[in-house]
Amino acid sequence: MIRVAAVSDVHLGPDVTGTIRPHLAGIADHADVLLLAGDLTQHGTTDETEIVAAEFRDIGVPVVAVLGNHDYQCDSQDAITRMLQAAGITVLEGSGIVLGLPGGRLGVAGTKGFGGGFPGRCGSEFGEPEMKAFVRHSRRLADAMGTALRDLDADFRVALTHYSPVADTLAGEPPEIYPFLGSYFLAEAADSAAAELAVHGHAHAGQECGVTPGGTPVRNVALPVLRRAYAVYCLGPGGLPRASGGAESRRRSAGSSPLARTGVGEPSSGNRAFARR
Amino acid sequence: MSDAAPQAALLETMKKAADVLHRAGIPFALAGGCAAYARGGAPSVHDVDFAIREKDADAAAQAFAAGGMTAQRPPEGWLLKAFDGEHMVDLIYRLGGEPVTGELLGRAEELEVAACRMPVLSATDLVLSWLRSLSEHYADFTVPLSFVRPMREQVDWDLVRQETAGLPFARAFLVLLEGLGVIGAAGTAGGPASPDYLAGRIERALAEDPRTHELGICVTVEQGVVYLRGEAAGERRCQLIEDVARQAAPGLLIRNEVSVIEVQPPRTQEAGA
Ligand SMILES: [Fe+2]
Ligand SMILES: [Fe+2]
Repeated sequence: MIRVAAVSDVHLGPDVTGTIRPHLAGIADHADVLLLAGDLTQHGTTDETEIVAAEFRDIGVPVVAVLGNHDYQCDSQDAITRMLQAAGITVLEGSGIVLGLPGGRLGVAGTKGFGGGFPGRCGSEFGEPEMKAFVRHSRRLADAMGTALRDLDADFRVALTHYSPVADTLAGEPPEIYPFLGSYFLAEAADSAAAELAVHGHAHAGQECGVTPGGTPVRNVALPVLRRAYAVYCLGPGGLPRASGGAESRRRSAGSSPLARTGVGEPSSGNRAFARR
Repeated sequence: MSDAAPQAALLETMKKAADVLHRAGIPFALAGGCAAYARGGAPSVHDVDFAIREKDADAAAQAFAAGGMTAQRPPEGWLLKAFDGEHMVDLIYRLGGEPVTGELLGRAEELEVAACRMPVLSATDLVLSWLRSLSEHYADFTVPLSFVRPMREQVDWDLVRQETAGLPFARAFLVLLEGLGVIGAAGTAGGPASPDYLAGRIERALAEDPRTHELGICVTVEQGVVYLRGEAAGERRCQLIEDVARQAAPGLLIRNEVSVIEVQPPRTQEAGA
């Protein structure tokens, strides 16, 4: 059993600091890893990144992050990435990492991801160069994560993104902005590797729980959604079976898949355990 | 009210009076409800107003007398009345309390009114003449509202705001126009801006202003009041959101209902198996 803690959209800055840190003492007793799903800063500056680094360094468990759109605002994403890495935080972008944890090898592949929307209501690489570039950016990021995810030599695979892979977890946001909140390319990438969990942020007004068409549980861990310092999801025996989604998930459920989805220790009794608030 | 016959007769009087002034070489411009009509308003004309300079008043009186219309100066001291049978023409030389000047008449444009071309006060000067006339004794917004609606795109509203800044009734009327969506809020580059456009502009400012970079704030504009709703990560950010919105919509009331996200501890005691 691997316990994955996650949070995102902390939007830290000199005026907003110490939001999470006080709650991280003793996190190693409750989780094996902490995932940060982007929007760690408000304005994407290196000054704010100092505060993010101080917030999440040396907490006793490995910290793996992706950046969010806010972290790109000042075109300092490379510097931000280096600063976080220097603080011991792994930053993924179209890449992956395998952590040898007591419960097994946990593989995490991540990307910021991008928008474009969901089947039936999505953009495509057609028409104006701006439209093509928009959708192509989204597709390329998702493809890179999919490749990284499939290449992981791990017992459990987690897709970590800022933008949402599914519309489920956007419920609560205005439907008109869904194409700016995520892309099904990310879900396709997670399903291509039969990931055990997909974690994202960005949709502050969304809800916590969803599932990909292939059955991968999706969790929106944006701080305004969780309203707590982090959530914990358990992977492995003892957790819930994977949701019955598409053919892929049915095939997997028939086998002895070790996937689990429990929330912050809520009794593992179905989706209610993951309902927001 | 919209009896066709008296309406037509009034417009005939208007044309006759314009002809008298034109022949006498007296600078003038159509004002009042007829001017609103000339600029696209409804043809519900109840009187005929012309603006002239005070120094031309005597010459105008003589010209009207020569044209077979009697003219008299009532005690009000800001106009001359000419009578064409039962119909009356006001020749006004103090418009909304301001003297009619050569510059004002110079800004008038030649427009066709009832098949006759004549100088008509500029839309901005017309609106100013109505707004300056509003007072405790005449605070009827209905008539100027009906005049303003069809010609709102011809008016320099920023100039109107400047010129009426010290007039409470005029300012009240402008708030009414904003609330009704007839005109945009102060700072709108000309033309009408509906509350939706205003909300869009504020939302964009909140996202793009380096002080905020806030994407999730819901902005609505109702009855000229801007409502800001949503959550921010800290107290100071709530204040900055208000500051940026205020700057994007100067002069409008802001209701800031943005709250700070409360972060609870994780429910780790329940974690595990
Ligand atoms: Fe965010
Ligand atoms: Fe975001």
